[in-house]
Amino acid sequence: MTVAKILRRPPFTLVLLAITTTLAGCYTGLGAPDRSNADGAGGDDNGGDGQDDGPAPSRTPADPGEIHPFEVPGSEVELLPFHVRINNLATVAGVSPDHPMFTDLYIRRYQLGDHDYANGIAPDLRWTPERMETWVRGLKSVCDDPAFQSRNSGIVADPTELVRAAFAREPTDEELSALQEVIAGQVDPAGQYRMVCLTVLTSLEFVAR
Amino acid sequence: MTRPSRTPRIHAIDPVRRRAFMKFAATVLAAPAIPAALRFAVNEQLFGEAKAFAEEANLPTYFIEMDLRDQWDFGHVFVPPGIATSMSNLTRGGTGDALPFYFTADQIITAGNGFYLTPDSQVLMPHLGNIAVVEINELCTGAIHGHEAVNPMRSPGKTRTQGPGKEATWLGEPGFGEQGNDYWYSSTPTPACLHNYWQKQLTPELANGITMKFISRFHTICHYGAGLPNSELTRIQSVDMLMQTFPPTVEELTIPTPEEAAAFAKALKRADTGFFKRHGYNEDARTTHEARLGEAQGKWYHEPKIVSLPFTPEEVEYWQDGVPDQVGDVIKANIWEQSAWAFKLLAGDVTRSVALEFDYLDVHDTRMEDVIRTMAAQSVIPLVRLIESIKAIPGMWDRTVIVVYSADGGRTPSANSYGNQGKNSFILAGGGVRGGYFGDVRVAGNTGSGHSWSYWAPDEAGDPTIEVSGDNSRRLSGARTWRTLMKALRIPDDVISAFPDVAGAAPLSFMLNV
Repeated sequence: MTVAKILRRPPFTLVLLAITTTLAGCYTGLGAPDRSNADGAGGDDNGGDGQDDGPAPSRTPADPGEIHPFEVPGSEVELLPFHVRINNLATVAGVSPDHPMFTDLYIRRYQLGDHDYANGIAPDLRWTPERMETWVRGLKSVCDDPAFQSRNSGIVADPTELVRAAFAREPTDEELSALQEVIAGQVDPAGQYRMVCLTVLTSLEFVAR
Repeated sequence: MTRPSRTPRIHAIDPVRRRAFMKFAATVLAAPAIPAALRFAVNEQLFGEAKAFAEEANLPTYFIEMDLRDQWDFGHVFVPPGIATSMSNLTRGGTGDALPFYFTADQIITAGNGFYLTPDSQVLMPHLGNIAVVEINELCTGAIHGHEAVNPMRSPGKTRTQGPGKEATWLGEPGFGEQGNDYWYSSTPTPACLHNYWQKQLTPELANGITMKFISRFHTICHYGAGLPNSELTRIQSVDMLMQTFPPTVEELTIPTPEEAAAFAKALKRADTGFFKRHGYNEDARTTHEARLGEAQGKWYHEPKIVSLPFTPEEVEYWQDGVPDQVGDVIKANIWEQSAWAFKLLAGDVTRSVALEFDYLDVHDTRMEDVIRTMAAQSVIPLVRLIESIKAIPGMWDRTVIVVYSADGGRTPSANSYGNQGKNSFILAGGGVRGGYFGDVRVAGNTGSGHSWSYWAPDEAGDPTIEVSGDNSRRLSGARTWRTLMKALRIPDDVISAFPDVAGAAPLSFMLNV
């Protein structure tokens, strides 16, 4: 299945709709109506009128005891949203986000934390061992793709350009040293290329925020 | 009389071959098909009695946690003795103070050990020797008539505000925020997370435990590792995600060799060094990340155990028969499907910790016959099929524990009641569980349209002698049911002692054979 076909499938369309709606919600401004009692999915818990199996926000009471803590994400890294990671990959590769090199990643997009609110799938942006494994598995097609390699041809000899494109800054000495180490562990040029590519595009600086 | 000392027979094997033989023996003896008594006897013969006990403690256990929302009513599953024996005099019906019970007194089945079943639950009969039920537990206290995503039995000591050592329990749950979940802090891990942590200590190459987040809305269940490294379950939010997580064939390994995986992980660790400081993360974030990187390293080159999760027609026929479908806003998966997947994953020793999240409608005011009977069928039939399937694998039942929670509280026997009142159900099943219905609910008075009730917690012998009030005083504390479950799961005491809100609690020994 091509990426273009995946993008045309209904769930993806709905995801785009959800993203659009969410973004619209973000910019409604200070004069926007108060939505605090209308969280939509519920219609729940009003002690009201029999079986409650559908949305009925007008019946949902304010919850006097509910506390909504604001959590500063300090104790666990948080991934960039899936579509942002794909867009950033596309920028590094010099292709559009619907290029076939991303098919393996799109197929696994919900494992990688993407969301589909219409089908009850919320974003999951923890960088877990399973997600690291899935990301690297999907990334191999990107690193092996001729279009990617043509755009990023000299990364074994000098990874600076790739790091610059991926991180939007100059590499640190520690990063360059880490990449030299991973190159040294490979005997053939193809292996060296792949490991540099995987390391840069799996590092926190690229996938997290 | 003292027993004659015996030299373990392993000493008769040449030292050079002994190590290989011990590894082989450990693998063979750990297989579920080896009956527990035989395994212990062989270990004792080979290694001596002390070593045999130690080996038993290190053997795998299998865990299924069934978390049922909203405010599940087991009224047609286990009838409390005080109600069962008064049934002919009770006002029954689906509204107000009436008892929502839709069989007649003569249809109640007396099954011994405090069990009174109904035609909806009589299929449990062959397994009651290994099913223990207690419902007079600490109540849920969620802000909206008890709804919450934790439950005091799953993370004892939880508080609404953050205290020393207590962290947010909800941060791992995708989409958390809907009303009726509530925000709790705790230092006590929830059961499947702790079990997942411990089993991966025993067998590091094990696939991570999962929770199937298949509630029909963003009402959810919090699973919380309390900071234990790599204890968090993989959150599965769709059937497709489940299938992708456990593919039916071995794909090409992500990274071909352990050496390359190690080099890759080392390079990532170095490359990531500056990230935490640049982005303002604290030291915990770095420690957590590096622990996860370590586990990922194993996954990059490890060939996973394979399981085929799609169902055959025969499997559908077996698991689905008689189980009502899920209803709700977003249909995700039926409970019979979740149960069957859990069985396949555990029976294949792919992972050892599986949580099921499932819901039936959030019923308000009334509890009509279809509601009560649906809840009974959706909880009883999958439980029976799980037990039957596990018992069919020799030795596995001895090492399996199934717990069923009415995750956000369990209601009173009156139709118009909610999860912060009356009962909070805890159902434990497994080869090490001693069967019985412990505690009681009795008729306290008549209201004209129905009844008021009195609640009786079990004493240390399991007898229902302790009358409790409508609030949480004198009820069984969540810490005790939590410890009971952990003992059934054979989690060592020294692991549990790290958690202050449960460290001093005693298990309910009347529920266990272990």
